[in-house]
Amino acid sequence: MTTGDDAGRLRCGTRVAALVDQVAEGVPPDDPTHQARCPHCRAALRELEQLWDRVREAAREDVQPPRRLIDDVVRRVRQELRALGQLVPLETVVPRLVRHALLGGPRGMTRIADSVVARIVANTVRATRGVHALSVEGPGTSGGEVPGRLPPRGVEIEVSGHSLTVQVRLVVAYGRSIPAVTAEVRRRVMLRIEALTGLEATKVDIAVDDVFGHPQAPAPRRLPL
Amino acid sequence: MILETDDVQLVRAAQVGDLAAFEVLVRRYQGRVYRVAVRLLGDADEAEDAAQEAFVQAWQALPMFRGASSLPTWLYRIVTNRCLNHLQARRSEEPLSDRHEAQTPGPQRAAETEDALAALKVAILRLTPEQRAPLVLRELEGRAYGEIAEILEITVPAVKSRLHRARLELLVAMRQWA
Repeated sequence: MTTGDDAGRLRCGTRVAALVDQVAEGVPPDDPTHQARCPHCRAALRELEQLWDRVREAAREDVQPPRRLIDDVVRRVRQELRALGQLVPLETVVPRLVRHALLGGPRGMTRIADSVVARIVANTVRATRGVHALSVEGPGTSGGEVPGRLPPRGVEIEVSGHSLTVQVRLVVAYGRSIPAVTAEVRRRVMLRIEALTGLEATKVDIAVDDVFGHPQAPAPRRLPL
Repeated sequence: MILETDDVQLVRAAQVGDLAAFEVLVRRYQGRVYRVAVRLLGDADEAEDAAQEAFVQAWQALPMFRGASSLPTWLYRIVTNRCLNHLQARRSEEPLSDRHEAQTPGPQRAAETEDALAALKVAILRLTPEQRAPLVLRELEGRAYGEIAEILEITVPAVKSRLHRARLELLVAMRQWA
């Protein structure tokens, strides 16, 4: 292609760079009327298209990984699991993991008991405006980790890896909008869990078991005088 | 019809130690992980090592994977980083003689002896790693700008400007042996 000057323009003034992107991206030209008539542009485009065809050809090339790649990866991971003492049949892994969240990396694993998460949830829920209390009915989270300390009632946690789902049963203060209160509980619980544990609460299910308190006397209606 | 188990379910299982689930994911993505390594490194053996290391690293980091990016994007990022680090190490190991200068024939010689495709690959390997990565991800892997930005952890405008320079460099190189 014949460039008119060092600034990368054709003799007609069109920037070569614009043509390059046009060809590579396969987008329509900035100035189709000019391009359709301009011999400089058309010659340059022809050449660029021809060159770029090789790039397209390279993109189509079938590159297959060696067959042993997957076996090598699996063997390496298995070695790692063995070194960590983790390679145990899945049936024994699952029940153990149900009560813990695992955060792991090359420098070690962190286990967070779900009673820890339950405690965080309970404190957060109680501190939310419009919540009267957590329900005392129903099962609490199974298995407190500290002997003699009961896990909070009204909260259940289900853990899977680094994410978890939360179930909360609560009593809303009478007169509060239940959708507003539950939305706020949900929002704060998710934020709080993430902030304090690094885990992600993917779902917070809330059961409103009751409302509590006295209906407030309606404000005296002011007459529009 | 058998529905394929989706990435999210497999990731969740692998995160709690399910090696079989992880194996399915490796099988699903080994093609692109290996391919991008070959294209960035230009060497089959080194690419195999990089791909293997990338998957082992992915397994280790999986409990941290939050799904902020899709799994393939995340894997692209891991393997691309490995390759870029490898290229940097290669560069600092041999500061005096550029390895590709010394070991691979120049584009012109390649064009004479082999086909245009081989010459193009050499030209790509002569781009700086900073330009090569966006070029490979865009033109050869067909990734979107936004995804490339995530993979390389740079902004979309930065992707565009590096890609633009890479294209020009490549065209200049191709014209020399056209």
